[in-house]
Amino acid sequence: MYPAVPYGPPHTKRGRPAAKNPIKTIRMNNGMPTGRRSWTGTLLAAAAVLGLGSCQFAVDEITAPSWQPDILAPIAKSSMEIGDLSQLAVFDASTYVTATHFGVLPGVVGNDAQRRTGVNIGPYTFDWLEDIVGLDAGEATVRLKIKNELPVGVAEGARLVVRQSNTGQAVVSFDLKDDLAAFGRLVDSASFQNVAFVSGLEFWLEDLNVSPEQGEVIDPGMGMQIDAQVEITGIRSVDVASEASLNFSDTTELGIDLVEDLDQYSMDGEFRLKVSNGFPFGGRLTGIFLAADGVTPLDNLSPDPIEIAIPSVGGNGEAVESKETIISIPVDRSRLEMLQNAAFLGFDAEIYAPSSPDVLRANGSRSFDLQLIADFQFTINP
Amino acid sequence: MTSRTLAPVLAGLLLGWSGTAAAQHDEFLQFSGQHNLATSTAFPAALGENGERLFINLPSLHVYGGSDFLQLGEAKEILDGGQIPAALVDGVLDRLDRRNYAFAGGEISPLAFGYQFRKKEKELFTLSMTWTEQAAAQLVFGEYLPRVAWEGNAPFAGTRLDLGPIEGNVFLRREFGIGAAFPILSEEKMSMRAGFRTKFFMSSAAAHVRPTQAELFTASDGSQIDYDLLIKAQLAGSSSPNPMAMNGSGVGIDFGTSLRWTNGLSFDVALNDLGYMRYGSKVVTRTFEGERVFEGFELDDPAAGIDKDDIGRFNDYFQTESTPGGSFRTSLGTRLQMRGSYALKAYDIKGRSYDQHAFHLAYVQGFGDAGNSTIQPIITGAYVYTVANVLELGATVGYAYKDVDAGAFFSVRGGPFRFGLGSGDITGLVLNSNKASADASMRMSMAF
Repeated sequence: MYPAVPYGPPHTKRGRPAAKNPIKTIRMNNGMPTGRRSWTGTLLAAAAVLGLGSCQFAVDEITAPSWQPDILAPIAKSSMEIGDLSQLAVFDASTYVTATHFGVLPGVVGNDAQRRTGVNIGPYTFDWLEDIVGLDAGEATVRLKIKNELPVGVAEGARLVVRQSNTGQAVVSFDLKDDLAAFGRLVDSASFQNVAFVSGLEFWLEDLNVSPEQGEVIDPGMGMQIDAQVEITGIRSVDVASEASLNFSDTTELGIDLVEDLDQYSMDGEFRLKVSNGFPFGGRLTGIFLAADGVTPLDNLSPDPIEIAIPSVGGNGEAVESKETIISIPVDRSRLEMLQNAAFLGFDAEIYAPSSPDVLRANGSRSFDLQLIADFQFTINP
Repeated sequence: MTSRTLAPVLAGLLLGWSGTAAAQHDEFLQFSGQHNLATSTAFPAALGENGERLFINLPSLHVYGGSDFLQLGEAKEILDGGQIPAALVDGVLDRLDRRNYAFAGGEISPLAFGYQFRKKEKELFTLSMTWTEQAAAQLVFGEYLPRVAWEGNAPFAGTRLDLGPIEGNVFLRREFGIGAAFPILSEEKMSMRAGFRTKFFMSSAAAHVRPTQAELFTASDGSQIDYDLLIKAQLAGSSSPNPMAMNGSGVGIDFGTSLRWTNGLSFDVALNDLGYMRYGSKVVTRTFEGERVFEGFELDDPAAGIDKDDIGRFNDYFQTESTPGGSFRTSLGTRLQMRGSYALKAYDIKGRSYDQHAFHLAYVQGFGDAGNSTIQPIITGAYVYTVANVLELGATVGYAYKDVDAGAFFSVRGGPFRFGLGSGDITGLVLNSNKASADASMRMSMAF
């Protein structure tokens, strides 16, 4: 992967000022180190002194120069894949269905009340993220929960169907395993492999066999609370409309306790945030450090807003290749002190899609990678 | 290494440059003609060749220290000024090579005996018994480990660095030797001798850092650091140092031959310290291992930031293991020693022949870096002038560790008693130059 250079080429050394402060003191007494010492050291010292005789030295301590190593190292990394977008993964629909939807009128259920078969109710719309026009996933789990407040039973054999709103095409469906008793509850679920949805999703309950219980009273407005949920796992792609954008702002508490450790060093350099964006979207982030009161601004996260570039996008709406962006965040002594006083980071962020093509596809084979790299020259004067 | 551990090591090495020792091999005993028993520790066949019958070595000493990267003048600057200037560190780093050496040690010979067995005044063989206390430390390291430590990894981004070698050994040991030499050929114009010495070692403590694998790569943009480290150190008796304890033992042999021509030419060759040490008591093996492509701490939730727990996880990336028990072996420091000489004879007032002017050329080649031996070749030329078979004055010029050094010695005899002082590298002490090592030797002996 890399050329093997056993003893690397000459390199350019960075200039460094003359020694300022000692970093280590070796205390000596009449030329011999004091204190507890290892036998190896004692051996060496003894061997030296044997031949040395009565040599005297001008000093009784030796101080080392200040030490200024240039450190270049990765600090942290994180990778986000489309499957990690949990906020895209759950769709809920909730409705309260009154008795009339089942063909039963309010009042006392008479002796002539008949059982009804083949009753369909719906559609009931799932919530859906704006600008998301399609999803492809490895697995979807559909859950149904019914709280029945009616004196009406639903016999076994009913079916839940999830359809695309615009076409009415059934995407997934399953038969309910149990019946629903009057004033009873029902919980059921089923999982499906390899599912794809486009925007707009609704569900139906079909082939209900309804049995009113004679003599019971149905008040006006009385019905069933029906909750349905589609949870998607293993998202493989997300389709987004062109020029879609998502803005959000938040304030997060900072826990940069490492700053306390860094405070003992004098350092000059920068943190480098390396972003590798494999999704066909761009981003913009403005951050500001806030004091403990959560209001007083201390400093900006970066001199300019952090821009995450959009990769080249192919005709299929997918990113052709990941786009790398490197953001420099200078850090010096004063900034370290600021970080020590900062308690919160407030930020405004925007994620946006380009204007073409019409649909952008974030593919599960790509990722959004973050890596924090430190490039500092330390001056160590403990 | 803690500062308390580091301090005496650093001080010891610095002191070593300031006052002791250059070559790991005592030039004195290689070239002096007055201390035959001591010379036989370098060239076993030389034992008894001076025609004396009884030899007694009184307490003698050789101490040495040096490096091939820190100059003596710099060591003095540190000790005189009380600080290590940054420019000095930069200068030292610029001087580093693929293998860099620092060493220090000493040998004390409290007592040794030799006796020549004869038949009709003709030598049958000569026996010797020697006792030497030895201490040595040697550190071998590569160029890039100290450079990265001092300059950081950023200047080397984009280059795969071999941080090795990282090798070292330290030992305290006691050597008992029994040697013999005998004539094997005696022609009119040429004679030949052979000699050997078997040696038994007791060691109270040792540390041995095995050849180390250490690589580091920093991507040009800092996005990843690859490292591959395996450092293995074996220690014996280091936890409770006791010079009288025996935590290791060993055997070895020296053997060689010598040729003498009546026209003054001679040649000696010896293979010394062929053997090993085995440490089997109070042994601890410590390993430090890690191999990883590090791209930063993995954050499940970037908004939560990085905390001390994440940093704490960094320790998980390395395996540090300390395993008591077991055993390990080390080389004695096998080396080939050769010496060619030419001497002009003279006669003292008693009519005894002696080498008035002697010219020597010696070569030492070790087969490993082990305490008192090195793979660095050591070449030394010497001239020895002997006044009236009483006073011996010697001067040496040597090349070792990419450095030319000069030494001197004298030895004087009064009756059976001989006393001498010498150094294989005194230029640094005298001239305050850029010499990187020094040594000193003191010999006392009696011969009858």
